[in-house]
Amino acid sequence: MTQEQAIAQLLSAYEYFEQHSEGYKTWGKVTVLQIAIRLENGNILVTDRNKLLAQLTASDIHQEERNGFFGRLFSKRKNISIILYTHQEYASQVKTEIPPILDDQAQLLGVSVRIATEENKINDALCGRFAVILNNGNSICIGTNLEEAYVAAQLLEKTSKAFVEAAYLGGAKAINRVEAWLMHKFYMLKYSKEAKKNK
Amino acid sequence: MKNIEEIKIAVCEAGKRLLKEGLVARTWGNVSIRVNDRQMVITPSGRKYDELTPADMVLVDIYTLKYEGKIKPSSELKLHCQVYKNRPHINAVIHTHQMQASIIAAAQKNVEVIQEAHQKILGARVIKAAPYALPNTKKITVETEKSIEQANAALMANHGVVCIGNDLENAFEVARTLEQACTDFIEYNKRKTA
Repeated sequence: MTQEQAIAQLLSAYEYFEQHSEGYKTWGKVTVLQIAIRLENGNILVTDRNKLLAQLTASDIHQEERNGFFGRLFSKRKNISIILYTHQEYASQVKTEIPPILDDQAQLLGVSVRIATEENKINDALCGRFAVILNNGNSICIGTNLEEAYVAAQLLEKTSKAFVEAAYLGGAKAINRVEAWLMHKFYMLKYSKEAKKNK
Repeated sequence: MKNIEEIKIAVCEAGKRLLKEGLVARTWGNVSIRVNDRQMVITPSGRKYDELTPADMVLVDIYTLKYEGKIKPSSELKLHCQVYKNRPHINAVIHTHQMQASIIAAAQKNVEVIQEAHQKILGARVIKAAPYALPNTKKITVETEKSIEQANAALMANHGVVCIGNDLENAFEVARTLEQACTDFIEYNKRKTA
């Protein structure tokens, strides 16, 4: 993606999220606070965290150093081009690792959702996963494109809601972690191929 | 009786409606309608609902699982076929990942249906949760089929829900009612805990 294409995508991101919110309306509120995007030349563009996404203008998009907050996350995940920094209604209530409790969670987010206790531990907590909850209650959700990162954020919210609410029913029961890991690999490979083939 | 093209349009619209009503997201879940004693039309595998057209819907033989055309049917087709084989009066099957039911499915609990009106629509006082099985396996089909018994819905542990109806409208009504019944059950347990 070129710089011009990336800026255009960031400026239309709010509209995109609004248009694609169907299907998620019962899951809990997800607010995207900031978006980081990696360009094909490796440069990183980020939106201003203090600016509402709906009011974003080109002057609110800046280039970040490759060793900055998002640069360090991108450096560990070669195939990831989008990072969303979010605040989420239910994810913000989660204080412990969420084991694999739903198949769709395992398929997209990976084997569990961890809590990163410190900023320099986010990469470790995110290892092989597509979402991590931060110590301040916010979350990081990633994807190979905007759609995947957005679904990861929504799925984190669904998983968190199920985890929090299932506590009133005796607690969520985890599925086997090896099976969850296999499901994740299978989904990421097979379904992306199938979607292309079935088009 | 509707012809196959009309049924393909109905299945495609039903997929979009599932998305609109918040019962599914992305490529998860699926929906089918019976064509006759031997065939059904089902949504395709790995496709997003908002991008589907009637031409993407897949005609499947309920007994052989063979399908027409190059587009692969939903990987949960065996469950749909099993329902149509065992329940001749059932003409529509919806598999959703709806929120409230997913909470109870994650807890691997049965749903006690509190309201009598909901019991009538769901066809049972308790909606059972089938034991966990990996998606697209024989076990998930067998266990879900066992759990649905004479009811119109069953939970699939850590996965989602299957809802059935005499027609598509009825199946949607079952899905919506189940969601309300699950909300009631969770609230009841919250009050009990408090």
